[in-house]
Amino acid sequence: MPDIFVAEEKEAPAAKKPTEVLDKKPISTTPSYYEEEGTVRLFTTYCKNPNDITFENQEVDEKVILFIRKALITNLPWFSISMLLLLAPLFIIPILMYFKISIFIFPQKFNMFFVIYYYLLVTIYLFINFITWYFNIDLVTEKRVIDVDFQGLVYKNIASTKISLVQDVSYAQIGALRTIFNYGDVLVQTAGTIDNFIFESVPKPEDAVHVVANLIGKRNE
Amino acid sequence: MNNLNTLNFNNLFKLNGFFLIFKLVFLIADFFAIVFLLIVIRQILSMDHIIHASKDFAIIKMFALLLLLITISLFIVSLVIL
Repeated sequence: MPDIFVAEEKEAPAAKKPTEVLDKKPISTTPSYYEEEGTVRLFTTYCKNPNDITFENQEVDEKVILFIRKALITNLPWFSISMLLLLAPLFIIPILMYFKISIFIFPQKFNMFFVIYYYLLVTIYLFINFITWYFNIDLVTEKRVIDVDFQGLVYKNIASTKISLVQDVSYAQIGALRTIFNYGDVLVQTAGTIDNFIFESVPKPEDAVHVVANLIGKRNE
Repeated sequence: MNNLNTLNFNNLFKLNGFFLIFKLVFLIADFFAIVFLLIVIRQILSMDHIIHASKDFAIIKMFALLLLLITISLFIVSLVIL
């Protein structure tokens, strides 16, 4: 009996050329916050995935995702004062000399010491303000949020909380200066009686919020 | 003549006393600066222990040590010269 319907024989599909396979980009399984990688330098204020930062009690598989310092513009007050103090003698002495007011009533060696001590104290003031800014660090890792508060020379507070305890994250950007220079306060709300974390005056606050929110989302998935 | 000599001696004594007070002020200020810088260096070292960053940490440490060295030198110099 003849077949009523005979299916056409299809040719077996040819194997894809290797070039075609290579053209297609592999689908990334890594989250978006892993995309960039950077190095933390002397004046770095915001760095995603810093490759040269490690900290005490860091676990082997714990990667630092975000490194934040206060925005550079927040240093303007003390930097301006330091510059004024450094330049003040250059203006004050000629003015006093113009009005014939002598401040050099002391012997020459005393005057020299006055000047040296003055500049030494101004340098120490500048240095202390710089390291206060430099050591105020906030870190976000895959497992923790770490806040290092370094204020003055005798106050140091290092707080950390697990990502699993973070409930919400938000930011506030109030004021013209903050809007222009794009920095603000990031509030990390934690569960229970644990204190909330505030990353003060950090650059790109919405980006930082996005990173922490991604981590919380990942946890909830 | 005698009066003049006494007057000069008195003036000189007063002046020396005045300078001595200034020397003491310098030394005390310098001493506090040294203590202050030692605290700074201690804090920097403790931070270095907590967070290990790039080689910029070393620059800051060296700068703090340099400041301390200058301050100690000034202390010694003002003790000897002034």
